Amino acid sequence: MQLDPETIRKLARFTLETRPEELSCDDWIHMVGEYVEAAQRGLPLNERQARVARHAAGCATCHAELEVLRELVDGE
Amino acid sequence: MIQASTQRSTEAWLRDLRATGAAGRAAHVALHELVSRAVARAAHSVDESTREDLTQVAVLRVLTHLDRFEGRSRFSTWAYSVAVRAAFGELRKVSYRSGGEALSDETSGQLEATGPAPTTVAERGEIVEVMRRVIARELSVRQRTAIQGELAGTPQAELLIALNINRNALYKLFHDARKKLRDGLAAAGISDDQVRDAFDL
Repeated sequence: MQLDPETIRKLARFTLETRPEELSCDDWIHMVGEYVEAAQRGLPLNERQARVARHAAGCATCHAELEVLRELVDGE
Repeated sequence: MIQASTQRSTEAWLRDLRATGAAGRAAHVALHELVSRAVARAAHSVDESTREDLTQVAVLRVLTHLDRFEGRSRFSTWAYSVAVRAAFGELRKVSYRSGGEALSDETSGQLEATGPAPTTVAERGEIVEVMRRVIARELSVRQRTAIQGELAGTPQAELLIALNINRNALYKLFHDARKKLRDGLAAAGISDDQVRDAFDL
Protein backbone atom coordinates (compact mmCIF):
# COMPACT_ATOMS: atom_id res chain seq x y z
CA MET A 1 0.00 0.00 0.00
CA GLN A 2 1.24 3.42 -0.90
CA LEU A 3 0.83 6.61 1.05
CA ASP A 4 -1.48 8.25 -1.43
CA PRO A 5 -3.30 11.45 -0.49
CA GLU A 6 -6.45 9.66 0.68
CA THR A 7 -4.45 7.27 2.84
CA ILE A 8 -2.56 10.15 4.38
CA ARG A 9 -5.84 11.89 5.13
CA LYS A 10 -7.05 8.77 6.92
CA LEU A 11 -3.81 8.62 8.88
CA ALA A 12 -4.25 12.25 9.86
CA ARG A 13 -7.74 11.48 11.12
CA PHE A 14 -6.44 8.47 13.07
CA THR A 15 -3.83 10.60 14.80
CA LEU A 16 -6.38 13.24 15.79
CA GLU A 17 -8.58 10.57 17.35
CA THR A 18 -5.70 9.07 19.32
CA ARG A 19 -5.57 9.53 23.08
CA PRO A 20 -2.74 8.43 25.39
CA GLU A 21 -5.07 6.04 27.20
CA GLU A 22 -7.74 4.29 25.21
CA LEU A 23 -10.13 1.52 26.11
CA SER A 24 -9.31 -1.96 24.99
CA CYS A 25 -11.99 -3.73 22.97
CA ASP A 26 -12.55 -6.09 25.91
CA ASP A 27 -13.22 -3.27 28.36
CA TRP A 28 -15.29 -1.38 25.79
CA ILE A 29 -17.84 -4.14 25.35
CA HIS A 30 -18.69 -4.07 29.04
CA MET A 31 -19.11 -0.27 29.04
CA VAL A 32 -20.93 0.34 25.79
CA GLY A 33 -24.36 -0.38 27.28
CA GLU A 34 -24.33 2.64 29.58
CA TYR A 35 -23.23 4.84 26.68
CA VAL A 36 -26.04 3.62 24.43
CA GLU A 37 -28.65 4.09 27.13
CA ALA A 38 -27.41 7.61 27.94
CA ALA A 39 -27.40 8.55 24.26
CA GLN A 40 -30.86 7.10 23.79
CA ARG A 41 -32.17 9.34 26.59
CA GLY A 42 -30.33 12.37 25.24
CA LEU A 43 -28.28 12.70 28.43
CA PRO A 44 -24.89 14.45 28.44
CA LEU A 45 -22.06 11.94 28.33
CA ASN A 46 -19.84 11.46 31.35
CA GLU A 47 -16.12 10.76 30.92
CA ARG A 48 -16.56 6.97 30.84
CA GLN A 49 -19.21 7.27 28.16
CA ALA A 50 -17.12 9.73 26.17
CA ARG A 51 -14.28 7.19 26.17
CA VAL A 52 -16.69 4.59 24.80
CA ALA A 53 -17.64 6.96 21.99
CA ARG A 54 -14.01 7.75 21.17
CA HIS A 55 -13.08 4.09 21.01
CA ALA A 56 -15.96 3.36 18.64
CA ALA A 57 -14.87 6.25 16.43
CA GLY A 58 -11.46 4.66 15.99
CA CYS A 59 -12.32 0.96 15.96
CA ALA A 60 -14.38 -0.20 12.99
CA THR A 61 -15.22 -3.56 14.52
CA CYS A 62 -16.58 -2.10 17.74
CA HIS A 63 -18.39 0.58 15.75
CA ALA A 64 -20.27 -2.12 13.82
CA GLU A 65 -21.28 -3.75 17.10
CA LEU A 66 -22.41 -0.40 18.45
CA GLU A 67 -24.75 0.13 15.50
CA VAL A 68 -26.47 -3.20 16.08
CA LEU A 69 -26.72 -2.55 19.81
CA ARG A 70 -28.35 0.81 19.16
CA GLU A 71 -30.95 -0.85 16.95
CA LEU A 72 -31.69 -3.42 19.61
CA VAL A 73 -32.05 -0.89 22.42
CA ASP A 74 -34.10 1.49 20.27
CA GLY A 75 -36.40 -1.40 19.42
CA GLU A 76 -37.36 -2.06 23.01
CA MET B 1 -42.22 -12.37 24.50
CA ILE B 2 -40.04 -9.29 24.33
CA GLN B 3 -41.50 -8.02 27.56
CA ALA B 4 -40.74 -11.30 29.29
CA SER B 5 -36.99 -10.79 29.00
CA THR B 6 -36.61 -7.02 28.89
CA GLN B 7 -38.93 -6.24 31.79
CA ARG B 8 -37.09 -8.55 34.14
CA SER B 9 -35.12 -6.40 36.58
CA THR B 10 -31.35 -6.51 36.68
CA GLU B 11 -31.47 -7.85 40.21
CA ALA B 12 -33.81 -10.64 39.11
CA TRP B 13 -31.55 -11.55 36.19
CA LEU B 14 -28.45 -11.85 38.34
CA ARG B 15 -30.24 -13.71 41.12
CA ASP B 16 -32.10 -16.15 38.89
CA LEU B 17 -29.28 -16.89 36.44
CA ARG B 18 -27.23 -18.08 39.40
CA ALA B 19 -30.13 -19.98 40.93
CA THR B 20 -30.99 -23.62 40.60
CA GLY B 21 -34.44 -25.09 40.19
CA ALA B 22 -37.39 -23.52 38.42
CA ALA B 23 -36.22 -19.93 38.81
CA GLY B 24 -32.87 -20.75 37.26
CA ARG B 25 -34.41 -22.64 34.38
CA ALA B 26 -36.85 -19.83 33.64
CA ALA B 27 -34.04 -17.28 33.68
CA HIS B 28 -32.00 -19.35 31.25
CA VAL B 29 -34.96 -19.67 28.90
CA ALA B 30 -35.47 -15.89 29.08
CA LEU B 31 -31.77 -15.31 28.44
CA HIS B 32 -31.86 -17.56 25.41
CA GLU B 33 -34.81 -15.54 24.10
CA LEU B 34 -33.04 -12.23 24.67
CA VAL B 35 -29.77 -13.40 23.13
CA SER B 36 -31.52 -14.90 20.12
CA ARG B 37 -32.98 -11.47 19.41
CA ALA B 38 -29.49 -9.94 19.42
CA VAL B 39 -28.12 -12.71 17.21
CA ALA B 40 -30.98 -12.35 14.76
CA ARG B 41 -30.14 -8.66 14.40
CA ALA B 42 -26.39 -9.25 14.12
CA ALA B 43 -26.61 -12.26 11.81
CA HIS B 44 -29.83 -11.76 9.89
CA SER B 45 -28.52 -13.31 6.68
CA VAL B 46 -27.63 -16.76 8.04
CA ASP B 47 -29.92 -19.77 8.11
CA GLU B 48 -31.91 -20.75 11.16
CA SER B 49 -29.60 -23.59 12.14
CA THR B 50 -26.51 -21.37 12.07
CA ARG B 51 -28.39 -18.70 13.98
CA GLU B 52 -29.22 -21.18 16.71
CA ASP B 53 -25.58 -22.28 16.87
CA LEU B 54 -24.56 -18.63 17.23
CA THR B 55 -27.17 -18.15 19.93
CA GLN B 56 -25.80 -21.06 21.92
CA VAL B 57 -22.29 -19.63 21.72
CA ALA B 58 -23.54 -16.18 22.70
CA VAL B 59 -25.59 -17.44 25.66
CA LEU B 60 -22.53 -19.22 26.97
CA ARG B 61 -20.47 -16.05 26.48
CA VAL B 62 -22.97 -14.00 28.51
CA LEU B 63 -23.01 -16.56 31.31
CA THR B 64 -19.22 -16.81 31.53
CA HIS B 65 -18.90 -13.02 31.65
CA LEU B 66 -21.58 -12.36 34.27
CA ASP B 67 -18.94 -11.16 36.72
CA ARG B 68 -17.97 -8.38 34.31
CA PHE B 69 -21.44 -6.83 34.49
CA GLU B 70 -21.17 -3.77 36.73
CA GLY B 71 -24.81 -2.75 36.75
CA ARG B 72 -24.19 0.58 34.98
CA SER B 73 -26.75 -0.29 32.30
CA ARG B 74 -29.78 -2.53 32.17
CA PHE B 75 -28.80 -6.16 32.20
CA SER B 76 -30.56 -6.68 28.88
CA THR B 77 -28.44 -3.97 27.22
CA TRP B 78 -25.23 -5.47 28.54
CA ALA B 79 -26.28 -8.97 27.48
CA TYR B 80 -27.16 -7.68 24.02
CA SER B 81 -23.70 -6.16 23.65
CA VAL B 82 -21.91 -9.35 24.70
CA ALA B 83 -24.15 -11.44 22.44
CA VAL B 84 -23.64 -9.18 19.43
CA ARG B 85 -19.88 -9.40 19.86
CA ALA B 86 -20.01 -13.19 20.17
CA ALA B 87 -22.15 -13.49 17.04
CA PHE B 88 -19.98 -11.13 15.01
CA GLY B 89 -16.85 -12.92 16.16
CA GLU B 90 -18.18 -16.33 15.13
CA LEU B 91 -19.38 -14.97 11.80
CA ARG B 92 -15.97 -13.49 11.06
CA LYS B 93 -14.32 -16.83 11.75
CA VAL B 94 -16.75 -18.63 9.42
CA SER B 95 -16.32 -15.99 6.74
CA TYR B 96 -12.55 -16.16 6.94
CA ARG B 97 -12.44 -19.96 6.84
CA SER B 98 -14.74 -20.08 3.85
CA GLY B 99 -12.94 -17.67 1.60
CA GLY B 100 -10.50 -15.32 3.26
CA GLU B 101 -6.81 -15.43 2.59
CA ALA B 102 -4.15 -14.88 5.17
CA LEU B 103 -1.85 -11.94 4.74
CA SER B 104 1.51 -12.98 3.45
CA ASP B 105 4.63 -12.13 5.39
CA GLU B 106 5.53 -9.69 2.68
CA THR B 107 2.37 -7.71 3.24
CA SER B 108 3.67 -6.22 6.44
CA GLY B 109 6.47 -4.54 4.60
CA GLN B 110 4.28 -2.94 1.99
CA LEU B 111 3.36 0.19 3.86
CA GLU B 112 5.92 2.39 2.34
CA ALA B 113 6.07 6.05 1.58
CA THR B 114 5.97 6.38 -2.16
CA GLY B 115 4.29 8.66 -4.64
CA PRO B 116 4.15 12.39 -4.70
CA ALA B 117 3.25 14.19 -1.53
CA PRO B 118 0.23 16.47 -1.60
CA THR B 119 1.57 19.92 -2.22
CA THR B 120 -1.57 22.00 -2.34
CA VAL B 121 -0.92 23.18 1.18
CA ALA B 122 2.60 23.67 2.48
CA GLU B 123 1.57 22.50 5.90
CA ARG B 124 0.18 19.30 4.45
CA GLY B 125 3.53 18.53 2.89
CA GLU B 126 5.26 18.99 6.22
CA ILE B 127 2.77 16.69 7.93
CA VAL B 128 3.26 14.04 5.28
CA GLU B 129 7.00 14.16 5.72
CA VAL B 130 6.70 13.65 9.44
CA MET B 131 4.35 10.71 8.89
CA ARG B 132 6.72 9.14 6.39
CA ARG B 133 9.59 9.50 8.82
CA VAL B 134 7.66 7.98 11.71
CA ILE B 135 6.40 5.07 9.60
CA ALA B 136 9.85 4.32 8.24
CA ARG B 137 11.86 4.73 11.42
CA GLU B 138 9.62 4.30 14.43
CA LEU B 139 6.85 1.81 13.65
CA SER B 140 7.55 -1.87 14.13
CA VAL B 141 6.70 -4.25 11.32
CA ARG B 142 3.67 -5.47 13.28
CA GLN B 143 2.51 -1.93 13.94
CA ARG B 144 2.75 -1.22 10.22
CA THR B 145 0.74 -4.34 9.47
CA ALA B 146 -1.96 -3.29 11.95
CA ILE B 147 -2.30 0.22 10.64
CA GLN B 148 -2.10 -0.92 7.04
CA GLY B 149 -4.90 -3.39 7.70
CA GLU B 150 -7.07 -0.69 9.23
CA LEU B 151 -6.43 1.66 6.33
CA ALA B 152 -7.18 -1.03 3.76
CA GLY B 153 -10.27 -2.35 5.54
CA THR B 154 -8.69 -5.79 5.91
CA PRO B 155 -11.04 -8.18 7.74
CA GLN B 156 -10.10 -8.36 11.37
CA ALA B 157 -10.07 -12.18 11.39
CA GLU B 158 -7.46 -12.06 8.65
CA LEU B 159 -5.23 -9.71 10.61
CA LEU B 160 -5.61 -11.70 13.82
CA ILE B 161 -4.42 -14.85 12.07
CA ALA B 162 -1.65 -13.10 10.14
CA LEU B 163 -0.27 -11.59 13.33
CA ASN B 164 -1.21 -14.53 15.55
CA ILE B 165 -2.68 -12.27 18.24
CA ASN B 166 -6.03 -11.62 19.87
CA ARG B 167 -8.34 -8.70 19.27
CA ASN B 168 -7.08 -6.66 22.20
CA ALA B 169 -3.48 -7.02 21.10
CA LEU B 170 -4.38 -5.97 17.57
CA TYR B 171 -6.10 -2.86 18.85
CA LYS B 172 -3.05 -2.08 20.98
CA LEU B 173 -0.73 -2.39 17.97
CA PHE B 174 -2.99 -0.03 16.07
CA HIS B 175 -3.20 2.37 18.98
CA ASP B 176 0.55 2.37 19.55
CA ALA B 177 1.15 3.07 15.85
CA ARG B 178 -1.29 5.99 15.90
CA LYS B 179 0.26 7.31 19.09
CA LYS B 180 3.73 7.28 17.54
CA LEU B 181 2.38 9.23 14.58
CA ARG B 182 0.69 11.70 16.90
CA ASP B 183 3.80 12.07 19.06
CA GLY B 184 5.90 12.54 15.93
CA LEU B 185 3.69 15.36 14.76
CA ALA B 186 3.76 16.99 18.20
CA ALA B 187 7.54 16.71 18.36
CA ALA B 188 7.71 18.49 15.00
CA GLY B 189 5.63 21.32 16.44
CA ILE B 190 2.51 20.47 14.45
CA SER B 191 -0.71 21.04 16.37
CA ASP B 192 -4.05 19.23 16.07
CA ASP B 193 -5.58 22.35 14.56
CA GLN B 194 -2.91 22.45 11.87
CA VAL B 195 -3.65 18.81 11.01
CA ARG B 196 -7.39 19.52 10.88
CA ASP B 197 -6.87 22.56 8.66
CA ALA B 198 -4.46 20.81 6.32
CA PHE B 199 -6.81 17.90 5.66
CA ASP B 200 -10.21 19.52 6.17
CA LEU B 201 -10.96 17.22 9.10
